[in-house]
Amino acid sequence: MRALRASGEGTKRMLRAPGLILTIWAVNLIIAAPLGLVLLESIHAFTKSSAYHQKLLEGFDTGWYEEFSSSLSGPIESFSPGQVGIGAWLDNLDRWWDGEVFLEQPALLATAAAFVLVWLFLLGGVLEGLREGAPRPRLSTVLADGAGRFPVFLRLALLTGVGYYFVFRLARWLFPKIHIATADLTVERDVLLYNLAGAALVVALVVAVRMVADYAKIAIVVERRSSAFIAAMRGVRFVVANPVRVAGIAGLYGAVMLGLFLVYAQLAPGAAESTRFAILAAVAVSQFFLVAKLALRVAFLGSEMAFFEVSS
Amino acid sequence: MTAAVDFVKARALCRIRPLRMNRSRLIAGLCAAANVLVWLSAAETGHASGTDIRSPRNANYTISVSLDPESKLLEGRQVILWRNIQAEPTQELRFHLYWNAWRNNESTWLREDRYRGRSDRGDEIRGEDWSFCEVDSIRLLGTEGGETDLMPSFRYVAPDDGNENDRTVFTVDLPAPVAPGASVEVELAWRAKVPRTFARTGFRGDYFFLAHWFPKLAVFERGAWTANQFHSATEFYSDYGVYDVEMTVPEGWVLGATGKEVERRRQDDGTVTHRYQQEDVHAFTWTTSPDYVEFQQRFEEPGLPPVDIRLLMQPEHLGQTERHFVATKAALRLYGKWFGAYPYGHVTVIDPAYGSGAGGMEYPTLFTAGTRLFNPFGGGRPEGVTIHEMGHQFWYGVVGNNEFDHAWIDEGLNSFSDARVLDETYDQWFWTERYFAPPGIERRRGFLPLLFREISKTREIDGNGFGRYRAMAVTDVQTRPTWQYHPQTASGISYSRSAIWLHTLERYLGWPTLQKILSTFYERWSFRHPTAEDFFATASETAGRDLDWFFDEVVRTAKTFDYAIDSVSSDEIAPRGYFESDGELELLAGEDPEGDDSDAKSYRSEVVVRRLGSGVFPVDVRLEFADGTRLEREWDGLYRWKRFSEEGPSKLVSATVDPERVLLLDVNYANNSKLVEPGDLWPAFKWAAKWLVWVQDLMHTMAYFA
Ligand SMILES: [Zn+2]
Repeated sequence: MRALRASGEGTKRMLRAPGLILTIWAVNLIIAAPLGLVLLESIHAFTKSSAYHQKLLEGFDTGWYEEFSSSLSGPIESFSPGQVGIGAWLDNLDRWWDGEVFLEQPALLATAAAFVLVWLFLLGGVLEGLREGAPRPRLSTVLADGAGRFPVFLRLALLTGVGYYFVFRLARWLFPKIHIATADLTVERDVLLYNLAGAALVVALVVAVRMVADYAKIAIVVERRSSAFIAAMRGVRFVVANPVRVAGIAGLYGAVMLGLFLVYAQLAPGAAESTRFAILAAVAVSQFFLVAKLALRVAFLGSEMAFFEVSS
Repeated sequence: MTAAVDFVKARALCRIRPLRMNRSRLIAGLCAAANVLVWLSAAETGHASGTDIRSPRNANYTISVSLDPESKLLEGRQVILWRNIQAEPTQELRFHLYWNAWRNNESTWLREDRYRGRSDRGDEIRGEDWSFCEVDSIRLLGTEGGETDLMPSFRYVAPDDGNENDRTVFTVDLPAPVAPGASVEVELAWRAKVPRTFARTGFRGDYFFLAHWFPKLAVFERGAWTANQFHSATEFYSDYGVYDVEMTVPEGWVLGATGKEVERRRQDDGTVTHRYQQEDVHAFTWTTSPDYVEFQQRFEEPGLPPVDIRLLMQPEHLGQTERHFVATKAALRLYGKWFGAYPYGHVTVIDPAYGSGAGGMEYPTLFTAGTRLFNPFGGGRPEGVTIHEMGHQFWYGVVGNNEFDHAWIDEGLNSFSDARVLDETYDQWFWTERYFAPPGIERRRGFLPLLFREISKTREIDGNGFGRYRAMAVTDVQTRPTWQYHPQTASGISYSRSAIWLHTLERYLGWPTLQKILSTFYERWSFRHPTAEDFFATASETAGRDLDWFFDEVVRTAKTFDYAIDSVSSDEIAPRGYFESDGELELLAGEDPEGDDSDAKSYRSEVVVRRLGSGVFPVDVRLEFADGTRLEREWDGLYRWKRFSEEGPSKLVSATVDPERVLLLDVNYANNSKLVEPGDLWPAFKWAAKWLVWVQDLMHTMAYFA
């Protein structure tokens, strides 16, 4: 099965379950919302009686930010105007990339981990729903399937975590080496290329671990496996046996994700919306793109499922 | 004698045996030295120099140096002609050896750098990265052609902290005192190893930036030598003089230096010697690399002397060439108009190599800017740094304060000025982030920039460095010697705090007055060494009023400025109780008199203003009413709080203390205003929702891995 056909199939299967995608999005929003409310309350308390109230409605004020941000503690300390629009996505990628996210905000990390658990819980049902000829998934069956698979998915996630950890250690070793190796280069473009080569290697390894994890989960669902380790081995065997197709599907989704990124870069709200309608519209647009990201992720899983079913 | 070195004496220098250098090259160099000494003495006795003598020219250097790019070694020989311009004699000479700051990890510079919380560079530094400057010989040249070896009395001293391992200052004893007005001439031979960049000097690959690279006389003043050790948070201090420097580098390498090139010679060994001269400067810096691409433009502006700008660019930044010229000219034009003309007629702008760490630094008639491969217009760089460093040609180059003691004079005046130029020259300046720095490298140095075009930066906040000021507002008394500041806060005070109080003065006195203060200071202290008190005195005198109270509050002490509206209320006046009416007592119950229409309502509005900080500054208080009227009241701010009570037909909407934000030093402006009716949730919702998206996306990204 070619990557393009697999992705077409994956998209079709993803579209069976729009409600499920919205559910995952809603769960994500609900988990994140308390943090958002804490920040809302902080901004409001700090600003409601001040002349900054109007300035923040109309745009932003860096002087206000200097004062406000120094009054913050805990996860909301991470609030920055650099999170406007596409900046939010880039900022996150960057934080994961340099490992900063692990060190700076344990509360944020815990919140994200809570969502990961929910995601792992729902994933069994999601994957069932992505199988060939599967009926339109209903929440009750998704929950039941998910609950059944959750323990093995959790064990698999721990195994996968070990894989990521090794990639992380490799990156920690590799980039200082690149730094020293390029210490006498006087051209930024050359230094960038060396770093990009290193980054490409690390990203390729991350994707490889992810592919193994994906196909292991699919094997758990399709082949009714209950051992995370055997499933992981199955994932490894599958990826090794079909490296080009596996990479092709992943590459295609990477490209679509990049496209989504570029579209969001154009459409993402900035800082200037000042009417109630505009503020709500900005929220809607950014939430819509989060849904789109999620839909893409599920479509990707669908494509992998379709490919797995054909190839095994 | 006042610098009267005769020609015969000068020629005698040519006989001095070089230590390790290529002999013929050295001899040629020192003969050149002889020539400049002759030229110098002619200049000082007023003959045929063609140049105005602007400075005392009491520390004059003739240097011959060669660079070996392979071994990263400099070999130099120099003759210093020093004249005692003080009223006291001295029988010693003190010198800086700045590069010994990175000789080992026990130097004062590296100890302070570690304390400052920077990465422990002592552990990271590889063998080839350390530096040193070793003096091999030092001789006093006698007027009769005789010489006295001064090496027997050579010793390192550590006047600031007694660190026995510090090698950044040395002293030698003279056989006889140098009387006021008398001169001495000493000749030194030395070797120096170029570091991998520290403090903006060093090498990266075949890129060399060489600043403060030679044994340099300290300043003799008020009967003693001011010779501070090199500190990690402060810079330099030297007397003015004439420099005649020959630099030998591989053929084909481009060289930029303080001054102007007057001669170039090619040797048989594949090297080229560049000779540069510059008078009336207090340092000499040079750079060389095979990669520089050279550009020239001329700055011309009615009322100001023309300036030839030589720009040495990195090949990968050629698309940003014009941006460098525009910024340099903007600084030349506006500093020239506001403070006084740039006197040298030429300046060299250096675009340093990637990762060389040489960017953003000033030297006489030469400075480094600094940009990146991807650098969209509007992010403030390289424009801001170019204006700042060009500006230092005025505040540092021409007005030569002691940067060890009063770094804020040049950095503060210059930060204030560069923010003003940036604001006048460019329409907009945006919030910028950079992403994807290699792990372990600061994030702001990431490869990929993103401009947030809906988030503008301002001169008041971002240009002046309000955030850095706030964080460090009271960590040190500003008039304390800068090298004694807490090393983490030194720059926040020298740059940002100063820029902010100068901007406060601009708003308080008006720009014409502040401009006059600064131009007077520039004129009066050109080619001299002003102290903080000199600045304060110039300010009061020029402003025509005593500003000492301001400097007491702001500079001579460490105080916090914070004014706030404590409470606002506005209630309808509703009389209750017994009131006199037509000579009778009338009992009123607080209700509207019957038949009264609402237009006749009267409100009593009360505002309590507090001074929360220890710093005192007179402020205005503005009351805004529902019908659009405004009342302005004044408060001297002396006591801790004051109540303003107003009666009128309209309800109070808001009160603001210091509504024009004259007191930019106020660390909390959010509490400077208060609305009678608090605003709604929408602004908070708008911004919290944006952050929420970031949190959600962070969660999605984590789930990507699972
Ligand atoms: Zn500066």
